[in-house]
Amino acid sequence: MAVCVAVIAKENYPLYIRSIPTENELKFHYMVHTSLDVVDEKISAMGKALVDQRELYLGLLYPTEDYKVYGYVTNSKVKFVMVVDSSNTALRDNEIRSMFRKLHNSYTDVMCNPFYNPGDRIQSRAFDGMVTSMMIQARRGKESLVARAPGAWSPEEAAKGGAEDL
Amino acid sequence: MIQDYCKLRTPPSGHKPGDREPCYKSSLCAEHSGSCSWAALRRGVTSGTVGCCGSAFIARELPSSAGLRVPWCPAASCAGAVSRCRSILNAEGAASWVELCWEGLPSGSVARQGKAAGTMSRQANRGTESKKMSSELFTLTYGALVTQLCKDYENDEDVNKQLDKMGYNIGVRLIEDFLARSNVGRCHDFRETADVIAKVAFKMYLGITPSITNWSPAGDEFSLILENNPLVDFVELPDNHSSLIYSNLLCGVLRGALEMVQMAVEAKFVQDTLKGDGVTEIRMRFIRRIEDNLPAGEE
Repeated sequence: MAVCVAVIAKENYPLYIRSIPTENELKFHYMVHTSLDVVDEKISAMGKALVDQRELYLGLLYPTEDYKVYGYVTNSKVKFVMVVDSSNTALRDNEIRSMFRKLHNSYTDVMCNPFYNPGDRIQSRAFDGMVTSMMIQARRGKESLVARAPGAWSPEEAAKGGAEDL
Repeated sequence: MIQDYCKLRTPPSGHKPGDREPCYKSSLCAEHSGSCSWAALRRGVTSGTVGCCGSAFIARELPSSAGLRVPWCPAASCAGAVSRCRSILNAEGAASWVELCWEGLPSGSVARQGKAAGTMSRQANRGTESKKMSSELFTLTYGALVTQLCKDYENDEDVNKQLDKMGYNIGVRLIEDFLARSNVGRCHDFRETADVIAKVAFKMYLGITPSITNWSPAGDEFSLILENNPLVDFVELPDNHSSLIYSNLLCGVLRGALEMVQMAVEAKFVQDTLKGDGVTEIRMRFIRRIEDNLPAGEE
């Protein structure tokens, strides 16, 4: 169902990013990057109210003609961003919520691994497997799955604000 | 003399007002109502000291007791029967103890004979604050221990040895607690030892019951198969630690504990879920019986 899944750390660098069609990878990276602004906007808008009332699921961040982008923020400011195909109209809000919950649970399991240092890129096989299961249901076209370490976007570049390359 | 008065019945004839009231729950309680916590509860006292072992009790309302508040003996060795605390019975050398079953409380006698010494049963209704701990905290603590050792030693073999040593030191102490709590007698052969380890010890400390398989023809080697190992929840071994035996502490514990009961054994992991196998398998081999009385040193 999802075409691209990304986990972004509190400092806005990616911990995990993975998309299905290989040729448009950069486009997905760019979409996730731009969606972070929308996420920040939503957090600050809701932040005026009491913090307990802020829901973790942010909903649709912005639609494009081909894709829709959904967001989810944890209380530790780790963001999950999911890009889904617009043509897949059968997807309801509940399903997106449950996918984010699964992501959140898997992320918590990764954090509990004593060999994982918070802030590192996520290399857990269990997490990979869970994301694969989320993505593989939609694509019957059998494009090859690529799990690419986010090389086009590194913490140093993000810190320098080097987004113009994308 | 112990009297049995179901609280729904009236006191026996001959009982005059002003007499010391016998305890209303007293098929178990040897105390008169003056010191009985049941009677104290009826008077509206909500906490105090228990007549049996002197521990402090608190009044607790149980779901099955329909609003009746019962006195709960928090002594760790107590069966929960405030009026006949197990620690007292053990001191008297009683071969059996009674366990208060809290079901059906308001309607009368609820005592039932407990199990004879030899089986360990913590009653299910026991309050969670007594000795339970989150298993996640335990798993995370063990994980932090292993990663710190990895950082300190930088060599998987050294880490394995250290874990084994630490396990040994735990084992030589744990065996005392185990024998005190479980009251098992001396095992007559290695098969009995295997049964006790799998069915009593692992259950008591880790909450799992491994199965015993693969006995060698001579009867001196066997395998413990653990389907799920609580030490390795959430753990994934990174590639640079491929020869690390993560749960090696368990081998050390088994070795240390059995050495204190005069058995020299060797324990090692032959399968591990962290390395991709389906189950975790520990192979235990009996080396010899320790006859000399040299004190077991610490490593």
